[in-house]
Amino acid sequence: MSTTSLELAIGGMTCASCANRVERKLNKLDGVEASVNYATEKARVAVPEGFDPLLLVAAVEQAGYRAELPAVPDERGAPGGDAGTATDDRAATELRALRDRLVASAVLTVPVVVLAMVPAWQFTHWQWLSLALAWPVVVWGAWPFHRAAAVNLRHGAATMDTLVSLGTLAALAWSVYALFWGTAGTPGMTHAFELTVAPSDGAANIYLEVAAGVTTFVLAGRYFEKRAKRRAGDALRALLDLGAKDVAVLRGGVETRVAVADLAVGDEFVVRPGEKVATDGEVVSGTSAVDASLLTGESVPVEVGPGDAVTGATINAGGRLVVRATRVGDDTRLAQMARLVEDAQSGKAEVQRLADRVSGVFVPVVIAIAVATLGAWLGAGFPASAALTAAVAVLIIACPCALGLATPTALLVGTGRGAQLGVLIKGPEVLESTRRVDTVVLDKTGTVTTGAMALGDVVPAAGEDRAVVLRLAGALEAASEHPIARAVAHAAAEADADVPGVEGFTNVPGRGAHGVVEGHAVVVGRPALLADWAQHLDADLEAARARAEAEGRTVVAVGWDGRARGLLVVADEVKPTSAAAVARLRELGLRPVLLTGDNRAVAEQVAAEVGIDEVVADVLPEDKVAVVTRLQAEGRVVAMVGDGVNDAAALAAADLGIAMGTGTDAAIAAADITLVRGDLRAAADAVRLSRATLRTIRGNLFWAFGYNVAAVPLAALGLLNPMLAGAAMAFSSVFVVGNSLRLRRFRAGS
Amino acid sequence: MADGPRTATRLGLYAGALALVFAGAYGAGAALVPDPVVDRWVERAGAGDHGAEDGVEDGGDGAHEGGHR
Repeated sequence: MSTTSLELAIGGMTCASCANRVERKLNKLDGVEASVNYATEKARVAVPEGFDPLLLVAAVEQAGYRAELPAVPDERGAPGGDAGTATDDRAATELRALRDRLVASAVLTVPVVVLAMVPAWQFTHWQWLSLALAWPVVVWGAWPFHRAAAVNLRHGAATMDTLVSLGTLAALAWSVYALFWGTAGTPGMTHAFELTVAPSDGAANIYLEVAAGVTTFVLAGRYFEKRAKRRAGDALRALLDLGAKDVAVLRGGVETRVAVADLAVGDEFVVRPGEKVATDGEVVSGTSAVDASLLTGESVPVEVGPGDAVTGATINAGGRLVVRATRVGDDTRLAQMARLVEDAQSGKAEVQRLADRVSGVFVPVVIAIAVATLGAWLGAGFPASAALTAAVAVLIIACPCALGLATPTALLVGTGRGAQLGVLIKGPEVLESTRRVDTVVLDKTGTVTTGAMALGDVVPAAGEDRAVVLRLAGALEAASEHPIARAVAHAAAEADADVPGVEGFTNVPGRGAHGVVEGHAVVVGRPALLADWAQHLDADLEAARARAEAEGRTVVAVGWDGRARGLLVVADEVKPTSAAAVARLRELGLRPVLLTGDNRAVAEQVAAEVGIDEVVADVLPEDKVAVVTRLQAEGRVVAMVGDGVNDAAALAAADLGIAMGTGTDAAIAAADITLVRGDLRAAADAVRLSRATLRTIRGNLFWAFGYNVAAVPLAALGLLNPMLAGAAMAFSSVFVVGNSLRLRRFRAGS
Repeated sequence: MADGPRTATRLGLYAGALALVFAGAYGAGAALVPDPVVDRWVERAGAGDHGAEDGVEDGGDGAHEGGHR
């Protein structure tokens, strides 16, 4: 049976278990295969031909969540079209709504908390003003928690939402009871500032500041988290932005500028030097060097001529090309890579928030303690009102205010410190999913190496002066735009500030260049070009050339006045800090693996230089993700460090994706962490900082619950008062913030 | 739809467990808490509330400082 796949935008999910529920619900439909991603809030669904997609929406809504079908795609069916925009708009709207809810709740909460905690400001009837300010916070502000708690209840589950909803509603309900039916509404009532405990039936106490405070703190945490989550779609946008926007298409021999979307298979178009190739195609005329490093990671530009295939979004570094389009829109290699990135993001393991995991156990236990309290008080013969007070007090005090702060504060301080050190961490999920990283896969070009060609060696022929060889070659190459020529010219200029000029410069596309320098007819390029000028390499130069090429380096021959005078060895250089970085990664217990699209000889040379034993070479760009998933299938928890577009999918698929800040936007957007300086040593710092931040989050959660759990026995014994509840809230919050601030002292090893 | 019945069973089991907890706590409360303790507590709580109400009636500072006083 043939199937079609579609993507649903899912709303209302508050945790990873929600995603599991929606997935289960969809998979129960006949012939449907669904995968739901909590981070991207999307469901990828394969349905049989003719299946009514509205059934999917109904199933999701039946589970208590929202679903939205994608908008009709544009003619090319390009990803990121209308559907992507609609999803973006919805995410932006949801984020704005959450921000408005947070701001309104915070404005209403501040006076409630201040009035409750400062007895001197508790004017006559202050408690009624508190009620007027607090109830919208608890009812409207905390609505997302109540709604999620109701959905959770339908599924017999408890999360942080359940705890927040239960705690805030219990506090509000009790306060309303105390105000209307107890003595708390009496004019002139104040909360005494004392932390001693004494028996009370609680009818004179209100806990509105707890209800409003918890709501606002947790809303703040959710807002920061949602803001971070929204960035998940950036990778795809950055990838698709790489492509050319318009193209000079040849129609009837005339160049016409059209949008790339209007290009059809078979159209011929012109690519000028410096321009991006508009789409995948075949060169019809012209020769040039095409820089495909963004896509393939290959550091050496590829020489192309008539009949050669070129890939869309690569850059024409040399002459004018006329290309015939062979693939457009969704079929291009760039679009395929975008799909790989999206698949990798969708397939990423969803990690349940620590707070939700703890709440899943904590909530049923707290309810049981409240019920036990009620039973024990009634059994002992206390009045029913006192028994109920103690039971409700247990629910009120059990909801930790600092729960909402535990993750965001550690993350804010951790990410802030990271930013100072040049390590940008994207979101909490990153940290929670990477605590057991044991393998680090390092992309070669641009990550371990500089990614730019540099002159590695000058080999003069017998009797020639090395400086002169470099000087004359540099003078000629200074007139060329080719990346290898630029590397030679740069080295010559560094060695000798007074590089002479060139006359009669002629570029031989794909082979080299020649011209006159200081009266010498100089030729620089492939040995074959020199052979055309009857300048053959002698045995020593041939041996040096063979050695260099065996090491994966590029060799350029230099000759003048009828004789080959030397060789220039050009290579992508290993960064000076890479070896130290690999050593530090090993110290952290990580096993380094070098991954590259280059040939094995180059890869092993670089690996040996930096101290890596495991090498995966000759990997096609689209296969890098397969290497990462293979390692994961072997039971390894993988961190991937890369910089190119070809690394984007692997970065998204890895348990921890680390992008070099000097790399492409697509890689940065797909990664969880970005190293601003492009220094690999910062990768070790990133792992250490992630681990430290995660430790802090765990500590925060422990203490957030700890202070409140310590107060539960007091509540169960009927000894809770508003000041104790407020103190538990304040102490746990202060502790959590203080604990998070310790991350500011994190020191970089680099 | 197997999810529904499974959830209902789980919630039912939990409710049953809560009922057992309630019954156990009720029995424990009855067996372990002596009557004088309950009487003393009721007396003190009543005195605290009464005192507070007095404070309001007295006018005094117009203060009713929580029921626990």
